[in-house]
Amino acid sequence: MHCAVKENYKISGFLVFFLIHSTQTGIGMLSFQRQIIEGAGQDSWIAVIIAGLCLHIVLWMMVKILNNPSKDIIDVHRYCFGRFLGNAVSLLLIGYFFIIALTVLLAYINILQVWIFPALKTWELSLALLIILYYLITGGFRVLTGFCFFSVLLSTGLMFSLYFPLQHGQLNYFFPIFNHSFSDLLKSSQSSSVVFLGFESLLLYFPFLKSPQTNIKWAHFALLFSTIKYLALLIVTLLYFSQGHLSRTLWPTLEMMKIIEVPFLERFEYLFIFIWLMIIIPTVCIPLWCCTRLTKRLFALKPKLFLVVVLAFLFIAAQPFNDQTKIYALSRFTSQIGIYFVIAYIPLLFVLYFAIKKMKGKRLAQ
Amino acid sequence: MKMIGLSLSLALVLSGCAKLQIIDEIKIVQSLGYDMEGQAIKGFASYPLYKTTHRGSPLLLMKGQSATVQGITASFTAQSQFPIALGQTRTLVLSEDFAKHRISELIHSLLRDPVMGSNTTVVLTNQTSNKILTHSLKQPPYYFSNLIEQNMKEGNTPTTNLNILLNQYFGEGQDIFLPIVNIDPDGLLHMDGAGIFKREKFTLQINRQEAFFLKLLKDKNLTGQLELATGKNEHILMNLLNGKRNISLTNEKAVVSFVLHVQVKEYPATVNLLDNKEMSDLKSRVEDELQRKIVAVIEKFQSRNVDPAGFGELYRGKLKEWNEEDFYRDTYPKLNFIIHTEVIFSQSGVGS
Repeated sequence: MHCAVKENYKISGFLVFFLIHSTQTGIGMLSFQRQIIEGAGQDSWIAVIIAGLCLHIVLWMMVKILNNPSKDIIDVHRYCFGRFLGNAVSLLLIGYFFIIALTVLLAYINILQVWIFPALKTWELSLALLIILYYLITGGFRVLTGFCFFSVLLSTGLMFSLYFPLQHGQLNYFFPIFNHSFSDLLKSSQSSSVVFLGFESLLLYFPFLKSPQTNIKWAHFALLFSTIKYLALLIVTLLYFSQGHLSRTLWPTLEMMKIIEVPFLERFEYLFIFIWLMIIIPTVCIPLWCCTRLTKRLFALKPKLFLVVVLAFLFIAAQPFNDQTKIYALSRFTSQIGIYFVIAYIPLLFVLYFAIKKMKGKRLAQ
Repeated sequence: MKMIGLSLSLALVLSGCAKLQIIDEIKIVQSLGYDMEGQAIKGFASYPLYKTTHRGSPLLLMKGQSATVQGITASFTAQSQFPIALGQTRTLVLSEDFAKHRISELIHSLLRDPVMGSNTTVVLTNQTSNKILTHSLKQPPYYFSNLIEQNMKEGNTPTTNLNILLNQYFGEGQDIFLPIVNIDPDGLLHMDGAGIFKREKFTLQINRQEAFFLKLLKDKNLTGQLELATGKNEHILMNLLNGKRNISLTNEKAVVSFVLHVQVKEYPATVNLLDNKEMSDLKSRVEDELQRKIVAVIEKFQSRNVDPAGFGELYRGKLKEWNEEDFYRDTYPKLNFIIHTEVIFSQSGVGS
């Protein structure tokens, strides 16, 4: 295969746990509850379980395609569609990962503006963030993995702050259980699978894993851990808000943090928002790294040079999003593409890949 | 290495963009008050002074007037040399008149406001909020919010805060109640019952004892002090130590049973509490009286069709199909409430 990654650039296989988990827990954790309950109301925790389980199947498919021998999506595309068409399809992925990074960046900037710095301009914040991003991504994939580790530590640590809103919860808000139809649940599952997006970058960094066969269980553990985290967060949210209030709350997680009062800190959510920067950084960095990786593989461009170009594009693209409705429209658009990519395209590729493999195998046998 | 140095120095330069606010160069508002004057809203804000060697009152009051609820901050700014910070606001006082006309606007603006904390309490007053806040200026900072908090924790005021308020207003099957604060003729600020709203309509005002029964029906922690008449010229005073409430619902009746552990502070001199028979006799009289009073409060709620205790919400959680409108039109006014009370005299002091 084409993409042999040098051994000294590889990471230990079990670190895929941190990579997958940190790319899944990001900006969505602050606001996903409101979209989810649109379908199944207080039953939507079931939808999170359904979505989590379905994505295990997608993850299994991804690993099946990529494994044996270990390769990335570009090789798969070339194998399935031929060299020229395959590269063209891979090119589209650059756009996909770029939009994901843009959406997360803008959503975080939006939160900073709404909650803390109403007068700060988008370009000031995006410039500051882009410098951090450049610094991290130029460090290479191994540095990013290290950062993911800290992001997971932080986001897991912050989960303990849910204890406080839980104390104010009303058990009755959780009931009645199962009074929604299956189609409601399905609708909620669809919107909850959005929050799990991000793990598809595995398609590109898979060849970086040492002995993937034995370590791929860690990827599944990561997905399971994300499911548990989202489930816990959703259940606390459902207990804390009445349905009417929740459907009108744009950032339920931050709203819950408003109840926390400690003697030396009156308003915990400010701290929470800034710590969250550490948690969203991998969800921007990994897609951007994917962009550079794709161009490197497709055009043999120097990644550092291209990274500057991508970041410049990101900076320019962020500027027109100066009001909330545009940001919502963008995040809706992104989540739609993301869902189709993960739920429809990957299974399709899976079927195609194995069909072609079988055909080629037959031809060889003859 | 050069890149790292450059990035770091740029990051440092950019961090200079952050807004710096020094504590004695902002006005940190502690309480906000709203009154109506004709069509205009009059707003008041009390804030502490940190910097000056100002003698006398530690708090000062700002006054403003505007057509919109949030607009009063603009007129505060107009009279202040420092920016106004609302993040530490702990209490909002509404005059009855304001609550009657503009409460839905206030609630909607609170819903969108990222600055106001969820622990903020909204209270009503039958007097003007100007009077209440002016009174609280003479007291130490946070006196007013501590008064309310203390009464919710230990006293007879039903617990509420901004989160509960928003849940009640936007959720189904429960109505808003707000504690009432008044200044009595002797010039003391005290908690005084509660006001109950049907959606945004101020419907019913209940007195201090009725508010305590609402607390029994609604709160998680059952605490407070209870004074009951147990016969002619006979009174008993009890401290509620802890208690348990159990509500079971069927279609036409709701059974609420209480087990209350109390500390008896005062009881009729004729009764000997160490005597088993006399004790159980007093106990059953207390239980009967308590039961009668709670039923009376619930019937009052039913007659005005308000539901501050959230029985509708309990029914919603119980039934697969539940409709708010139908419930309050057909079921709630006719609902039969059965109250069981069991009072346990856990302690009766160190003498007999």
